Amino acid sequence: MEGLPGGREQMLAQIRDALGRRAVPAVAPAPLPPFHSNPDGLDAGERVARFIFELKRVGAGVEQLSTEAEVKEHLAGLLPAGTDVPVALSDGAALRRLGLREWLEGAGRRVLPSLREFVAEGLEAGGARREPDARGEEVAALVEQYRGLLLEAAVGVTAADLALADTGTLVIVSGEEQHRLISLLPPTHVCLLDPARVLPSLTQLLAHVRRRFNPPRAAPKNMTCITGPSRTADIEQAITTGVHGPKTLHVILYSPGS
Amino acid sequence: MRVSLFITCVVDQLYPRVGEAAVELLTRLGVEVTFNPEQTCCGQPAYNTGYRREARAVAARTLDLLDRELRTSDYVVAPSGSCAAMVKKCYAELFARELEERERARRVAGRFYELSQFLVDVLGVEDVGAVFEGRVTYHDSCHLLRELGVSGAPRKLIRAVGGADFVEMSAPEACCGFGGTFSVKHPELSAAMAADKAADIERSGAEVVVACDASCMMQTAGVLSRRGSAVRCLHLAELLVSRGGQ
Amino acid sequence: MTMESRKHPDGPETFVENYRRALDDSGLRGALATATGKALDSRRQAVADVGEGDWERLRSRARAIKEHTVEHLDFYLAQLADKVERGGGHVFWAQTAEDARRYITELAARKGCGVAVKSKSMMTEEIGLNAALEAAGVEAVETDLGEYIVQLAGERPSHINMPAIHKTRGDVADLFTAKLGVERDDDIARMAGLARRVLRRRFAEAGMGITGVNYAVAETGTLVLVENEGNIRLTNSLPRVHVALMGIEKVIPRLEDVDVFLRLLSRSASGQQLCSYLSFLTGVKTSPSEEGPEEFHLVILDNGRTGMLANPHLRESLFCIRCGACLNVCPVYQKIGGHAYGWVYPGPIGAVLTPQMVGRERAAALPFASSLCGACRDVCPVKINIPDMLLRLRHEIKEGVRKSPPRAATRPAHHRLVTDDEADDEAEDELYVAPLRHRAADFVERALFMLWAAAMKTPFRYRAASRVARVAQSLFGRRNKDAARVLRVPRWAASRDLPPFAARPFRERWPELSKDAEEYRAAKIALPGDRPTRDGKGPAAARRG
Repeated sequence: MEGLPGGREQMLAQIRDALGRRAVPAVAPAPLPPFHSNPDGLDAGERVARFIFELKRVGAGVEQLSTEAEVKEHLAGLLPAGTDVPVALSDGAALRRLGLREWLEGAGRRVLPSLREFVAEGLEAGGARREPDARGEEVAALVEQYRGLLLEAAVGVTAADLALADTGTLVIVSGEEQHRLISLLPPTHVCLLDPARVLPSLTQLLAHVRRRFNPPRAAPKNMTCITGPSRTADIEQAITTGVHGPKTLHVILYSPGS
Repeated sequence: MRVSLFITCVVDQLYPRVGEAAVELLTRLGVEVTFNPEQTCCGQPAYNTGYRREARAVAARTLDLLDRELRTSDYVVAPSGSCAAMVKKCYAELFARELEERERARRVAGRFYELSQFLVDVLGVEDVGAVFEGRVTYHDSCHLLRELGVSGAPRKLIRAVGGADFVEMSAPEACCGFGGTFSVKHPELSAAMAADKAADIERSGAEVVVACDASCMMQTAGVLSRRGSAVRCLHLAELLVSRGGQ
Repeated sequence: MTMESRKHPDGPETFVENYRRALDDSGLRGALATATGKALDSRRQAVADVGEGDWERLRSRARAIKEHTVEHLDFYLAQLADKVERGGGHVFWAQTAEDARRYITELAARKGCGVAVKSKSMMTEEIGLNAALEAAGVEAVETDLGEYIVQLAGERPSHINMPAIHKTRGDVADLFTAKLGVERDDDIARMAGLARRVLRRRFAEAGMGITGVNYAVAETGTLVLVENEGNIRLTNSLPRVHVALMGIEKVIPRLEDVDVFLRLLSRSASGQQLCSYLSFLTGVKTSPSEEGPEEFHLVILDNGRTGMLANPHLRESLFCIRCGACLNVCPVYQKIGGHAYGWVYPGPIGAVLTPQMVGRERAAALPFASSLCGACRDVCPVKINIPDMLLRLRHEIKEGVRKSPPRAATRPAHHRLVTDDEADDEAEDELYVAPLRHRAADFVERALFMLWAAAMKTPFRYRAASRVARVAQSLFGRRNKDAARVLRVPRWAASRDLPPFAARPFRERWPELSKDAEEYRAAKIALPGDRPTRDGKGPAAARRG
């Protein structure tokens, strides 16, 4: 099923043929000289201001807060009235540190468990009688169930890893934190961001990713750059939000050190 | 200064008045003008239609003629952005494999100028002393604008015309839809583009639309005339020898 | 296809008939004018915000990256495939559209997928994937709003990134009423909301998600996907199997190269600084409780691209990043829209790609459907010289430089079911023979150009030809100022007057003109009407200089 035998070699040979080359290149081609984009020349404060400006331009809400209490109060204000509408929280460290889950539950909100909790509970409920081989399927089924729960959530709360000032972009690296679906499925996405994590632009992000994850060995499995809410202009070029992803995006800037 | 005029086939056959204006204009500016009646065509019609063999045959002859002209003249000047682009840009591609012709094409290209470019960049003239009472707009010919990168020179020349009120249309850089054989192979498409151009010209309120290419004039004037429009089409050379009202 | 009647049974071989229909459709022309106008205005503003100089630097860099990549395409593709496989993905090398279709449909069968959700991908259009999936019993659901609309209507996209550019909100409301059984409502936000609800259900039941690829980074094996709606994220996050389809030209060497292209792409396409969502996907999950699909398959497709690679004059066709700016700015596209081009890729870049993919004979009209105005080259973020390639294709078509591409692609995606005769169909594509009237017209045209060349080769023959033309004119239309009607050029004359030949050509006037000029110079007198010029450089400037 891996296709025609020799598909790879045959196609590569054909390409070399088209390029007028005979042999497989022995060494990597010399890379192009580096390309420098202009630095933004902003200090940290100005960069955050730029980020906020651009974020508003793409139609997102933004609030810069300085205490935990303010964050919680603001978040509560973003949740729809009616306490039985579920809220989904990702497993990000920033959210855990604030104790948002406990606080929301204490305030009487219905909060979906994290995927990790959901799977652990599900496996426990199923009992320990299963063979280890059956566990994979069991987990997959639980993940699928969890997805069904997420589809009902009215609000998804995540934390961004980084942000880009010049485009008003949130950068979410999703691994253990499970930001991927929570930032996508619910109609409202609330994202917590440490203002110290605002980079000038995509250029610095890609350089950062290279450093932090040190590709070529291991790039992050899933990194998403989010610039404003989900939008379409497919009918008469009229911009409409929320066609597939969140209709509204709120960013809470909060520095845990402050 | 001596200039050899390259009169395009469209000017020669349909708009000789443009060539006459060019002679008068350059003469008034103190240039000694010559013209070699042995010249025929730059070869663009065949080149643009894909017949490179035919184009090369005609172009080789023209290239040879231009090269000889440049032995006795300082420059070759054509009242056409399209023919100038053909000689300055396409000859290199056409003779990519003939070393001698390629070298000759390079030599000729360096001294071949479209008229407005020549006036402003070589002679350093913007006000040629013309007088024209009326509202004038300018159509950018595609080859002049995008192959040769000339858009300022014609405007400077028009703005300096005494009495002329220069207005821009909303999309002066939009193609008139001529495109040589395109207009014959796909006349409906060509006409649809021309209709937009004509409407834009009319909206500008101009009484005269000026172009630097006789082929654009032919297309635009043809549509304006069919629409019963009062707007006239002039070649830049014609405007620049005007000495009074309309 | 279970779709309604074929609204556009036209292929590139009936281009003229196709566009005549489009020209008669005033609703279409209005929709096109509005949409392309808005996209161009937004693009212009976005470019101005970057600044002309920086924009040019980005374009040059993007082009340099593409040149470099294509020059070392074998190396980078091999590197990409290695990285993807190391990250747990499968790589399939598809030489033809049929190879790719078979691999994907067999995979769907093996995985027991009854429904596949798709994000907008020109590549899947190119290989006619939807029809193949349907034939294999897999329901393919387009999820991009525009693409969903077009699929419901049984049409194909008419623009590279605005698939439903030809439809008004009223059209969409009618379509939703007819196909989804809802009450008619032409409010755009509510229609988008309806699509969200309907498609959410499809996402939930789909076993396979199929996407294209914007950039595939060789050094990391990372796929970069660019979108505004979020449907690509859903497609690559929810189903258990993710299949991404890319042409061989989508690979780029390094992560940092993505930067340049992203800065150009969104601005060129829609005037946005950045699209709403960028997904960087690297590797497959390793534990079942991670998010994302369980399996990932990357299909790397040739489908005639090595033919483009082999032709140094047309190689830059492979640089295209599918931004759609050349369509928006093209005066021909603006008038006729995308369907008239008769295949997957419309507009200027389509006129370059289609002949190379479906055969120069079949799409022979497309490269000639341009006034060569060059606006496409000016807006292209990768500086692709489309007019030059159109000229090259015209040459190759007229002089049979290449009779057919090395590998035929498919016919228009939505026009037939995939059958067992597939191979025969493709063989037929290679052997396409133009209708007799086209061949006759070609013959006449060639003869005319040979005559023309003969006439232009000596001034004597040139003068003779010009005299013959004048005699013809005087015989047929002494009193008619419109030469077009006289010379019986009916399609021209339908809309334009043609000026008559001048009584005497310039060259006959030259001796007198020359004499006048000579006298003027000798006398050095001002002609009547001369006035002092403002810059003092006017008359006689050159004499002084």
